[in-house]
Amino acid sequence: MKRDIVFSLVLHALIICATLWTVPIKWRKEVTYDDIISVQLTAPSEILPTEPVLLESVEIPEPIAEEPPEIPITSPTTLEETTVTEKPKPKPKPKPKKPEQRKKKTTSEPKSSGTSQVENKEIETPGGSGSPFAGATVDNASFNYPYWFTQTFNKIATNWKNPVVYDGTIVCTIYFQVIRSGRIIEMRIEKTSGISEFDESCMRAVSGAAPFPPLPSQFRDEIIGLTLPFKHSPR
Amino acid sequence: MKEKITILLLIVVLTIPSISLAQANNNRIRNIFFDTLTTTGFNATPIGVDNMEFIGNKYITLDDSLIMRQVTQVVQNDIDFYADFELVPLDSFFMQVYEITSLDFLGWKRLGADILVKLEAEFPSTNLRARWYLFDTQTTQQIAKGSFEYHKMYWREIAHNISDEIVHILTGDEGIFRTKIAFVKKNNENKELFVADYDGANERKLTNNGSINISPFFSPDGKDVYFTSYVDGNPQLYKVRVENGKVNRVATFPGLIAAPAVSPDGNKIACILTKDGNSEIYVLDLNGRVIKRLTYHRAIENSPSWSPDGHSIVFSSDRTGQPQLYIMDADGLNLHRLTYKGNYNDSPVWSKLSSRITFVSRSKRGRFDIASIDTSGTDYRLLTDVGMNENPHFCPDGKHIIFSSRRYGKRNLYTMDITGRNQRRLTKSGNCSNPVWGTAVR
Repeated sequence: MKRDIVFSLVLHALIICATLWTVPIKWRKEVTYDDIISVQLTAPSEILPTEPVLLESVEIPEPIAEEPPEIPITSPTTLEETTVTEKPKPKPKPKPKKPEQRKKKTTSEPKSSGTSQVENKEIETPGGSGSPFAGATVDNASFNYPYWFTQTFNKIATNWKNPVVYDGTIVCTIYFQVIRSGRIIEMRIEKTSGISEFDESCMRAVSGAAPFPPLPSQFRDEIIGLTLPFKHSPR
Repeated sequence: MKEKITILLLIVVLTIPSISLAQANNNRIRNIFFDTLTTTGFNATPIGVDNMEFIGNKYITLDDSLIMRQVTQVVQNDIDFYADFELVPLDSFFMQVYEITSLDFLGWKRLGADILVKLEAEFPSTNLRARWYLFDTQTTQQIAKGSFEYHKMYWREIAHNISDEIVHILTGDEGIFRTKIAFVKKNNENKELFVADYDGANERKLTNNGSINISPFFSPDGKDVYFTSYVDGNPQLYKVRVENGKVNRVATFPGLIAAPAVSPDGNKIACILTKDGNSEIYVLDLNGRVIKRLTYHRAIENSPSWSPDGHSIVFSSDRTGQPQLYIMDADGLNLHRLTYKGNYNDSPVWSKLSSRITFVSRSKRGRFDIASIDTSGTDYRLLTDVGMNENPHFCPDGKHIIFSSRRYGKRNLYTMDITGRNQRRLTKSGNCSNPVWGTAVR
């Protein structure tokens, strides 16, 4: 019995010692403060002059004045007239080219020279250079309707099912002509990608997306031609 | 030791939120993948619709002012509904801050609108003359303009006409805002057909025979609705004129006639007949005479739907023990199975303009969802993920789907884009089912 009591006492003592060792008791909470800085709540009677610190000069860009359009929106009829007068005079409109003529040009003349380069105008594609249609051109420079390109490329992109899984970059260029109603009258592969399935998917994307938005009523010509590169890039 | 215990506790405390965070990230990745699948290469065009302005030279009445506000709202709602567009709301906070009452092109451009619609109204005599103008906010060019004039009581039609014109100018497609929907509404033990505008407005009863009328289907010209009715006891095939509600019986056969589907050329009706003891697909002419029996199988065939060219038919059959979708030629040949995913696929509808088929698919949890698949049997997509969804049907433009759902308890009609986005409720009364979408009557 005594042995048990002694054993129990020793065991308790060991536990208490272990507890005290692991959890050191701080009899008094030590509070440390940072450096105490005395301040005055009222302003000093006189402010001592300090030497100016030279800061690096920073060029502040001049605010770019965004000029509101001068056209009053309350009278759209006036707007139309104003828009027409304010528009820079378009270059002499090239007549809508017949497909045969265009074919001749593309086959007989190199792309880097010739009048077709002057007439063709690169289109700002939505998505910029990342767009699969980056580098698209319209063969009538006076056709300046960004909304039309946005809508048309949107329809084609929605309709395009790229069947190719390929690590490299391939491009198929489609040429097609659109008439005033938005329908296609001619379409052909201008430059093949070398993969017939890919070329066919591009053709299907264009033909399936038609009809396109009708040509704007302010645009005088009856037809426009678009050269549209379909670019497959590795993901 | 203490530090170890503290570190252990910290690990335990930090692990739980990390796991849940990782779970959330997983979900996010899955969502991005889904979005990528459904919206590849597509950007909805942001369009702002300015409030309609009065341009007349006399005073304006309160009623006329109300009409102008309603026309604006309907045009805004139409633009917001359309799958290719995204409505840019007029930011009242922005206008209050800058103390302005109307926005110019720059203001709309800053709000994110690429296209601006401006509306003007005059009220000559009892008419409403509405002018509309479409502007490109980037270039401030006027894209198009036009006007409509009817009696002012038809202000809703005028608004839908304007929206249709906007769709045509910007997409080249026909607008859908004057299309009609037909559906079944249950009242006690009766089921009657109702018709309404595409947005659920102008709802009215099409049949009123106190019986059970089901399976409506519009004729291609949108003037008639074919349906099955129990009015004479046996379920037989009828049609009703949308304009005046005049009902005619089309076909009578022993047993049941169900699920009529009019061919795209409007000359044939594919439907289910049980006259031979089992449900089989038949093709009838418009006078109700059998042209051809298409299926010969002991299983239950149901829900035939024509391809846009009228050369093929998709239908459901439980010949493998569970309902799955099958495609066959319009003469019953070249039958092949379309769906293999899931153990319950039913109620197929073929898009009028694309190679998509939408249908009801039951998930493993027993929920009915709207799904779609390419006619090649690839690209299976679930379009809904909440509630019990049934009876899908394509809009004539192939870009929208109408369906019934019990997601909020009552069974109501909903619409969505073919990608599953922009889901919105059309009806609120409940007990609505079997919606179909017809073309606008020209």
